[in-house]
Amino acid sequence: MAGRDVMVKADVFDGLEEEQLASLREGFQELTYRKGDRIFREGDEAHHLWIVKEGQVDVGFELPGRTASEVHTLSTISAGKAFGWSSFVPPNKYRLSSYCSSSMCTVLRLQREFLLGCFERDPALGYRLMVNLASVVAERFNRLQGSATAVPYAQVKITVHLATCGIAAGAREVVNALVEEMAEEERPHIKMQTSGCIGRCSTEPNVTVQIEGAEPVIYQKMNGEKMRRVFREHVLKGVAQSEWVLS
Amino acid sequence: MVNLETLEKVEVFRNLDDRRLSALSECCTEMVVQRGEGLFKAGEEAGHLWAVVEGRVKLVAEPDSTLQEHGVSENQIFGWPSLLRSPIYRFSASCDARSAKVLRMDSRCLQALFEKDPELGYNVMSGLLRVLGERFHELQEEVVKRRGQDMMNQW
Repeated sequence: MAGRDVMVKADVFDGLEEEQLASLREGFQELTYRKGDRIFREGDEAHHLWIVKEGQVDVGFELPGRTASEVHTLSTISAGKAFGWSSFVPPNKYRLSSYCSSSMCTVLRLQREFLLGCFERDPALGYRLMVNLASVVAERFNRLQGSATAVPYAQVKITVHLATCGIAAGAREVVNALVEEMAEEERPHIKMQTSGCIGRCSTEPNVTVQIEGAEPVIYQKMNGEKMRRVFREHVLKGVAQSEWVLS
Repeated sequence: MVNLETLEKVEVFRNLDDRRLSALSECCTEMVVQRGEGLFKAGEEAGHLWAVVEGRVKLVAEPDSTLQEHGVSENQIFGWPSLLRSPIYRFSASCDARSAKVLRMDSRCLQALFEKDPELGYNVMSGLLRVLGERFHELQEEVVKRRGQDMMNQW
């Protein structure tokens, strides 16, 4: 049975009363997967709504003869977020496959039939949950559309140079800001890494943004706020922030 | 107030009885717009849910991208953020026919109805989720096709 705190944090249960949460709690099944395990496959009957309790789940499409990898991923679902909403959209088949993409994943699932029974007994619960689920789908719709058009499918590598001089100059703040922005966006094609000094201590903290098919851009004297802008403008929209670029 | 025959054809109001349709009609007004005339803009607060009665409406997020444009036909709804947690329009809407007749539904009026009659709210929001899900799947198919082609080209 799912803990109350997990349910309160879940996006699909936003605004539900204690009694409503308690009625749903009875229907939860908790499952654990290892990295690379498939949770459901494209084309399977969609009998369940799923929520990530711990870890990270990738949702994407499969190509014949290829193994699961991030290349196919359309979205990454983090803790507290729901997936498998096709269980409420005819013809009730999953349209994508889902995989555990962190070292371990704990997921909760609720059977559609169980939920429909709850909604029949308590239409106010059904109304609230449908608003929440539609809000989740709308948010993903906007995200998918944005990712499909802004910087299409380009692999992005962001390197924060974390040598002693960089750390002293505030590189940790830069890393924290970047981690927060990445968690917010859930874009699996954007990777972050850290590396050593680039030999320009006076310009630390430095950050290198490398977008597939373009020359790497090195930024200088970064801080959390600058990192957020570089992420939103350069990484997501492809517009380098020239005033901070290391010449 | 609009007539019930018009309302019952709207994709999220099908199978509702006359009592509920009548209550919904109190939240609706009919409008006629001419080609190119705008209904709302992306970024504006979403205060209304809309449905096309006659003609066609175009939704555009950003120009110059086919993925950012959608057509809305008769009896289909648009402006769905008005009933969701973040009520901001993501697309701009304009008339895409010589003229179009549309229903404009006040979202606060609808939400008050749904709070009073949660079964109605559940039915309408289930319908909205289905519509949104189907449109998401269409977008997803297009994205998968494009990405699949990109990947095949790289082999």
